[in-house]
Amino acid sequence: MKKIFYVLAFILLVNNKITAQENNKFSTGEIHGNFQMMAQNYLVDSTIGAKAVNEKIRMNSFANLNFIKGNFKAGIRYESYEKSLLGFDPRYNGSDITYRYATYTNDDLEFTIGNFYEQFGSGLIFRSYEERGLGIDNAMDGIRVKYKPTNGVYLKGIVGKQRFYFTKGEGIVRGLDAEFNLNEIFSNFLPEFNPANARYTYILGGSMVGKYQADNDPIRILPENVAAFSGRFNFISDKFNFYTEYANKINDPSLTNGFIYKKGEALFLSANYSVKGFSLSASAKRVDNMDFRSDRNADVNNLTLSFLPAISKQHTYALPAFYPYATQPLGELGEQFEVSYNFKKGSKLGGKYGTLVTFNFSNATNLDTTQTGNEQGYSANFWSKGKTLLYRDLNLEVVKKLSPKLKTTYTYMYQVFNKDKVQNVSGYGTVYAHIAVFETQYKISSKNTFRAELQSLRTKQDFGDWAVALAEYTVSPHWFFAALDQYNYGNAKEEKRAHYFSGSFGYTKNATRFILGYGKQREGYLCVGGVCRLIPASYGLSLSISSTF
Amino acid sequence: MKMKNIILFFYSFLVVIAISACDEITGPYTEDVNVTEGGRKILLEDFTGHECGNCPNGGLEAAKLDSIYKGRVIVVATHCSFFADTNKSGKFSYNFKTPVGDELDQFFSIETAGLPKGMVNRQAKDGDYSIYSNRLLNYTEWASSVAMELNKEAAVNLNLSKNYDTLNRSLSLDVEVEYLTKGNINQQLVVYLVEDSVINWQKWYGHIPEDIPNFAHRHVLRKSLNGTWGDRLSGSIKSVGQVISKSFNTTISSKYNQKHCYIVAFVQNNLTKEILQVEEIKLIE
Repeated sequence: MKKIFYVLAFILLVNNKITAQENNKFSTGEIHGNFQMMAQNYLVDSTIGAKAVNEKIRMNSFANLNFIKGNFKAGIRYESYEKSLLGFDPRYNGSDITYRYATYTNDDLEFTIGNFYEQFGSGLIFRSYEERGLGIDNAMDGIRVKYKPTNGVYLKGIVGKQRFYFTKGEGIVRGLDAEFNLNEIFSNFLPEFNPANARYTYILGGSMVGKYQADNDPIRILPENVAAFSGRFNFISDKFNFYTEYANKINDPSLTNGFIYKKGEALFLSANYSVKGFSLSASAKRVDNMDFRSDRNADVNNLTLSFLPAISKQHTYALPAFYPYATQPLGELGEQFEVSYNFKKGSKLGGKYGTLVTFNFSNATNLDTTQTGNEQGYSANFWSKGKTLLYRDLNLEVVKKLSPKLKTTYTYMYQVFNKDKVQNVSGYGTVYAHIAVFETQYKISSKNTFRAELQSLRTKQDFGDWAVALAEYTVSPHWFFAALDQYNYGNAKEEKRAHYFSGSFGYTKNATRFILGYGKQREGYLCVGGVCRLIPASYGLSLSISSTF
Repeated sequence: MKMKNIILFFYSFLVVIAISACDEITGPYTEDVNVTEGGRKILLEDFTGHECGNCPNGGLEAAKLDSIYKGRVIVVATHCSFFADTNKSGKFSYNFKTPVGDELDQFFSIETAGLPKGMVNRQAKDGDYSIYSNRLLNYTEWASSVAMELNKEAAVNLNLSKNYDTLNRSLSLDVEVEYLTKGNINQQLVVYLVEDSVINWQKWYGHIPEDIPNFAHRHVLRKSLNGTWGDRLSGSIKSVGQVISKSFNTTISSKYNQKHCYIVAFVQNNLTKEILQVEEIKLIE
């Protein structure tokens, strides 16, 4: 508590001083922030495997306070886990200030002391970020400098340690990133490169990230300094965008790769073409031994430096997201393709209001590897795929407006999900699932909207067939009411054919929202951007409050 | 020199430093371990499960440490979490779980942390004992933790003596605890029964076949003779040199191979769960 008092006192003092000065000639500073609280009580339900907790109620909450005055910014975040909700790591325990920083921008130079989030390129060798729903926060604590020495040249340098729950990881992280916007650099010499009227934009970038961790292992000889390098290129035009990045890492024996000394590499390619009513995108990724962390002994989602973007479609409906793909940093070859076409109003397929059709396909396999039997672990053929299919998703979505008040969405998916390999479990094998979703939204009046979803998942594997029904009624701008049932009617074990009923309602006023819910939550994986967390089954009452200011 | 040039120079300098700061290891990959003498022994608890495909890597690490620090590292493999659940028949139908293992799993949040995990004398990382799961280490951390623990002085000495009847499988065990430092009322004596080399199914990723029917499960925890957390040694503070004796009587189940069974006794601080000393004795020498 002392720490909070000091920080708040500091902000108030600074603010008072500024307000006083403001009377003379300066403007006052501003304080912005947000608050969020999520509490849940836990009841036992043996059918779904929901467990009680000794505390009866658990709560995760946090608040951010940011002070801005001209070129100066400073802030803190206070977090409280009394105790953490089930599914979050128990090391999120207690309450404290977990994030504090100060940033000053002086012309082309910006420096930050304290905590910061940062990303180099697409994050292949460095991404420090927070994903609260997954319990991920690998914020840096140290120094960051950003500098623009000349037009089109952007430099970043970072040094620090990463957050590890309420402490910091062992490893010291150092990184540099340089980005060159060729249009801005050459705009003085080549008028056609001038960003104001250039048809094409070219951006080059390069990064280096190194970590230091002492070798305290009495048996193995471990590299204390491990570095990774990456280069990237981005071509942008009004209709077409192409991005590629390649990363390489020197020997980095770690818990996750089984202490092999093989180098790591990753290649990411992405292209998009878009005109009015039509878009096309394709992406591909090859990852080989590229799990890069600031601590060689870290596991799960802890202390990650590399972020390997998922290239499968991120589904939002419950059943299509039932088997989410998580990026496999140790070895994966994947590709994704998506085409979207909007049939015009008045056309045969477009009807009176137009029809949007989207087809998406993604696929991921392991690498084609050969075990070497030595400390290198294995060798991998760069160009060929492995024989193990990890994930395949083929889906078609049609969005059709039937009247000014009625909108419908139809989705069909076929998924192949290698549960054993993707979730690192055993005995489940590969799941083959057919999924259909129907959504309708009816605008009763300017303030009242009704929305419903019907979903079906058919599979012979894992937990068998599921059906989902959702009804939601919104009274703008304050209220919403929702009822949901997830029914595992096809479970091979009859006693497990459970209904997961839940109901919730929410009230929103300005930037504050209250949501009260009651019901059952099935066990499952929550994934964001290809990173996942296991959510255990739960049953009980939940309350969420969020507010921004 | 202009500010711009100074910063560019600074960046170039950092780039050179960064590139040169890479340690490429081309071999050898291991080093000779300096094994020191000392009275302190280490309890290495290996939390494992027969359907945990990465767990044999933990077992290998435990065996390596057992072999390097002969007699000074005592291993107990505790099967727990959903990885140790059983099928009704066929593969993985043998039940390795114990009430002690389940309680440890619940208490230290082992299932949440995932397997394989281990504890070295139940020492907490960074000395933070307020969170019980802070004691869980990945197997790649065991070696450095063991080396560190072996450098500490022993707080107590443990002397085990037994009388075992192989026909009716009855065990009479005497444990003597000698205080080398001042003792307190939080210290408890815990006694486990362990069986070595139990042959049964084990999953092992990367191994061919992945499901191994005749895997030798080492150091399997079978039961506790006095509960998960044991018995309090004394209700009063003990001074250096004092000795406390405890006796235990039990019958060894015929399900266990008595030739492979041994007793592991340890003294722990029941508040922090830190283990101060550990000793083992075979049922049949």
